[in-house]
Amino acid sequence: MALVVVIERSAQAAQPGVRSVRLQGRLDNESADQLDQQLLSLWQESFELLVFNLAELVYISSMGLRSLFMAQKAMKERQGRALFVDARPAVQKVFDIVRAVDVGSVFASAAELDTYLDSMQRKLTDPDQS
Amino acid sequence: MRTTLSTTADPAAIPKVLNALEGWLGAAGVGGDDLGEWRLLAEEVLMNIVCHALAPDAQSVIRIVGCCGGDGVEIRFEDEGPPFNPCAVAPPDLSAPVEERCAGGLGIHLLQMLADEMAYDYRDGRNLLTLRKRHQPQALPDA
Repeated sequence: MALVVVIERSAQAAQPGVRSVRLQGRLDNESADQLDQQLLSLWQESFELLVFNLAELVYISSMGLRSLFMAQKAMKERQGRALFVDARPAVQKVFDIVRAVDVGSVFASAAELDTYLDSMQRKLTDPDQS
Repeated sequence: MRTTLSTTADPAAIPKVLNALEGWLGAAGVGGDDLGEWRLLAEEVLMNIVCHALAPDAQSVIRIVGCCGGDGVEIRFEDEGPPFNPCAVAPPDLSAPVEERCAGGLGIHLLQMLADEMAYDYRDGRNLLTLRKRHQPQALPDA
């Protein structure tokens, strides 16, 4: 089962500071380099949030985790954040074992993420709003 | 139900033997979360051997012996690399911020956390790593 990486530009249009990456299949020793390569083009662009949609990611190994660590580190270096949404239980279990992502970066559903992004947007347009 | 598989110490060869192992596990009746976790365990063991123990040449062969019984699965991995006991490896520091951590050591930590039992021996110039996992109860299908 190969990995399919979909960089979603529609989300980019809706949220200018957001890039969304949908992962389908397995992120393992065979496919981690593919993800690294496909993310290279993104690093040339300007954005603050990188959202990994994991609803269709069925498997992740330590080699895949390494790629996600690198992405989180790259976002931190540009003063941004990587967020993770809709991880399947098998993937979430691996995340939990190695504490692969910060708790505040994980969203159980797209709706929960949208609520978070909306609140971020409101804070940007109205900094006085708490 | 038993199987014996082998692979060369080449990262590119790993997916093929993982697929074969998964096929055997499926035929032995292992399913659900167990199937994915066994693939993960095997990938971590094999990648650790390939990346750290053996030279990537066709002479280096890793042997995998699987046995599936009524209560679980046991798989033994055999390689001719220098003695290395994954059971004795200390867990990585998981307390640092994610951005400051390296991914080294996570594979062995996953082995230690996902396998129910893990045993190591070094005999006749071979590392023998045996993992055991009891069958997890399968969810009942929706009525």
